[in-house]
Amino acid sequence: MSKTRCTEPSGFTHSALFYRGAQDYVDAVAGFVIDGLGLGQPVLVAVPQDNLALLRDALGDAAAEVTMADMTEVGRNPGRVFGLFGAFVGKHPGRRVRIVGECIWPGRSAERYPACVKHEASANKAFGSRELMALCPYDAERLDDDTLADARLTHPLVWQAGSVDHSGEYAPDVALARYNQPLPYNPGAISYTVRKLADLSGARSFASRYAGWHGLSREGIADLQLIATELATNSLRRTGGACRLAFWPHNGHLVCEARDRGRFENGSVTPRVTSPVTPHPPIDSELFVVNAIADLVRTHVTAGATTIQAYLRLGQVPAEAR
Amino acid sequence: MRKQGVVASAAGLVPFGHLGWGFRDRTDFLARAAEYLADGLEQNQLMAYIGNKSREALQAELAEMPGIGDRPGSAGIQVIHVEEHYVFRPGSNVIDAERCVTKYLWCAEQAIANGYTGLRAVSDVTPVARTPEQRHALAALEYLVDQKMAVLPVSALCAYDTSELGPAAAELICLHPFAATNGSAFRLYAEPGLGFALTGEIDAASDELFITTLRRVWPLVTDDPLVIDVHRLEFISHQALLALDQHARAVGRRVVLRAGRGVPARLADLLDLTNVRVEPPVEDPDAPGAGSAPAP
Repeated sequence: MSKTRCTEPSGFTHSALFYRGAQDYVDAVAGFVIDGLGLGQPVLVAVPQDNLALLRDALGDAAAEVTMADMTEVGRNPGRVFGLFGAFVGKHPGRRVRIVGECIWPGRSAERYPACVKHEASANKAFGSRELMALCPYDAERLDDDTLADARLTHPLVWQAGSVDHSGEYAPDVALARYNQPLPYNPGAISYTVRKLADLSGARSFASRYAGWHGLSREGIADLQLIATELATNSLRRTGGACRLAFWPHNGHLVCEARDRGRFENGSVTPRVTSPVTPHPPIDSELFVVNAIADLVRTHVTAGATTIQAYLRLGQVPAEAR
Repeated sequence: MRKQGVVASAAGLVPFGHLGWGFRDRTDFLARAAEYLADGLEQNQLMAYIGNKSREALQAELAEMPGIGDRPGSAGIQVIHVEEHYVFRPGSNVIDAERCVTKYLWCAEQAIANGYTGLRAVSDVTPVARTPEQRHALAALEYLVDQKMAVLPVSALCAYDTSELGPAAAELICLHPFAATNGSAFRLYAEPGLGFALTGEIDAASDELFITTLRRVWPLVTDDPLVIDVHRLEFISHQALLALDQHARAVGRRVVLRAGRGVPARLADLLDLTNVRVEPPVEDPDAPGAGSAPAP
């Protein structure tokens, strides 16, 4: 790593913070927040609830000037975090903003971890043109070495022990490739093939019946209908070919999978930063809706196929351990 | 709340029901016409049978309709050629929607004055729906006359030959509260006190039809905000909802969606809509029997 001065750059800066203990966390993060407020910058802090409490205490009255969110809730689906950050940036047009986003913490499940790394790796391109300074805390005492190595892959800057360094290992495409892993398929899943737009209605009815069998509420049924329709529509628009939807229950969730023979242009599925605003949106607009609804969205892209799995919560699911 | 539904026959829409029907086979059309007219005879309504044939040919079709030709009162069914029935813009084959509506209302008044309980028409509308310009004008007529049918003793079976019009028939069938099973994925119809109501499903297969229909109906509804009852709309894609918002923004109008707890309300929560907001329906759609379709 090479040393660099901590100044206020322009454009998007994306830093990992490796902290050791509560005091180190508070010193670094609260300092980052107070510096931003001092520069008149809007600040969003999205971290797990216990760290949120530490920061509230440390910031005192200044906490009222900060937008705060519990990452264990708003970031349960890592694919939703881009939308949260994008909306915050969008609320402050023409202003530089600061965001603290701790989407990886000890206890983050193995199911969600690959999506978290993809989120971190994709952020560099997704927010590249925005006036945003993002700090991503990592618990260097409790997270394993592989996780910290992934953070060095996905962040161009690393802060620790009061200094900031360029990451010599920075290679987000390597991280995206590493976590572009085949997804588990349930042989007991029931499936429905969508070949043309006129099949969407049938797919929706199928999803609705399936949701009913699992006792979903009216809102839950609407959510599964939206997920199935948006995934299948995305497949049809992107590939022009058939899409196989499959449904199965898994650990307190209903999984809706869309599998097709197309691929995303850049070989990976990057969640949208902003809500689509026109009726003829880019190819990923359906996934914005799916990410906003689902508890987890997992993707796997190969040269000849794309698989997207959306997990819909069945009732209350305990928060991930801290 | 107005009755509406997807139907397999034209029977049972009493006392009134504005029905859009697509047919490929004239035998099917004649069977539906017979059902619709039979109900009108039972209701003592003044009836008209309109088509692109001579009076004699139309009379002959009526005479051969099962249950109509030999029925008392059937001789009173008026037969009218489409060119006599519709009012056209001068020098064109494009109907004049507003003058057509005025004419229908006058006919309905005459019917009531002559002791009938209302006016009922069966029309093969295909000859005036062949070009986009004709359909644009006809869409205005369908919406404007449906506003009247929602509150006055007037109704019609509007039949469209899908073997001739193809998918374009859906541009007009979707403007009826009642439609045949394969008529249109969604329907937009008048609802007293509101701009209009939407029912059915709007997804990527029907987004374009929705946008076309919206653009045609929008200028006819001057309410601000425009209130749309969507609580019976089973599905709407985010593209269609964004199209509605974008159109409202473009013309500087506000839209209120009266929605229950289904997909439209859920999507509106997720999208950054600027000119569309959601409010609960005035009548609770979840109340037993509320707003249920008669499905005759």
